[in-house]
Amino acid sequence: MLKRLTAFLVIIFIVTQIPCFAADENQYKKHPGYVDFSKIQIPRDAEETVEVFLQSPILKIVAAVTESKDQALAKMLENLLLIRVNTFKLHPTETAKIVTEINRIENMLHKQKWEKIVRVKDKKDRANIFLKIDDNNRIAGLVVMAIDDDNEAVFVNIVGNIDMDQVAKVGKKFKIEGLEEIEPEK
Amino acid sequence: MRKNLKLKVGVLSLAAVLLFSGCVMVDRDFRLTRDEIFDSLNSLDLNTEVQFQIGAGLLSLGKFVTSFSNMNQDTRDMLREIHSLQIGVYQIENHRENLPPIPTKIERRLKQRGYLPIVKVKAKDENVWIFVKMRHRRLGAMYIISLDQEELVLVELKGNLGKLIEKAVRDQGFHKKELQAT
Repeated sequence: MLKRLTAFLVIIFIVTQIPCFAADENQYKKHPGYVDFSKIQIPRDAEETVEVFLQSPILKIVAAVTESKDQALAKMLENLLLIRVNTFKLHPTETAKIVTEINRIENMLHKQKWEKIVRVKDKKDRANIFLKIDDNNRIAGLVVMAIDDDNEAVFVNIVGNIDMDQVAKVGKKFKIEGLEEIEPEK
Repeated sequence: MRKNLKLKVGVLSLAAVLLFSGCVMVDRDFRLTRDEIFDSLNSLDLNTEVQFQIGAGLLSLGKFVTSFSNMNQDTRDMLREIHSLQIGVYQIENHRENLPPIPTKIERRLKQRGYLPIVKVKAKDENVWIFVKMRHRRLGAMYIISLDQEELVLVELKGNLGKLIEKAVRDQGFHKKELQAT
């Protein structure tokens, strides 16, 4: 009887852990700050592509390790659900296609009521930053889409409760191009 | 005579520690994941070149040796958190002109085994994917797949890998040149 009870409790314990983690894993998809970059049409001839995908469990671990050195940054990382970065090194002839992709995503973000902060460096460098404000006036999402004069395109999506004072630090910590220079309005 | 016997016992004991502490052959989990990856890369003829595990015994020996080196404390702390390292290197027999992509079904299969993808790099001459697995809400394992035109390399690290990841992200960042260097 005791063995059966123990086995039953162990099974219940294991089963309850799985939904907790599964819920963590998919929570970001339902969040208003999430943008699905998986549908970006990457040019076939793109020389190099990098995708980094840090979900909440990983970010919590990084937060725990960062806490002793920077509490504010650690707190922000704990509240994030996802940091996703896609970068492409393009052939010069492919740049126009990525600009078309950027315009398509911009239209989609406008429809979803994202706010745009445009920073155009010069004719070749282009960086568009979008913020999603939730019903509680908090920043729930951040998107950066940028192309530089080396034909490198960067797409960044940060999902969660974002503290703009810490965004540049996240950019510096993880060396995310496009984020390092974001400074909050004072 | 007594000295010879002691020497034999010593050598046999060391061999037993190496063999039975998982210090040579890869474990079942690694083999199953490897087989899933092979199955997904069924267009490639893969021939095992090297496949081994460095388990707790050898790692402890390594840590002891490195304690006398000039290695910095951060690196020593990270090494202490690694409990096992398994490596497989497989030659591609049917070379191709173009680098084969890592099939996306590998990601599905590894997710089924509890791994989460964190980095994917596709360069001209190499594709690298890095996965991690949580254990009791800690980073318990890391799986690296590297594929180029000559070979497939699989690396699995187990331990308490939070500091390792944090240092890797801090030092290498998301800049692709640094990620490729890793």
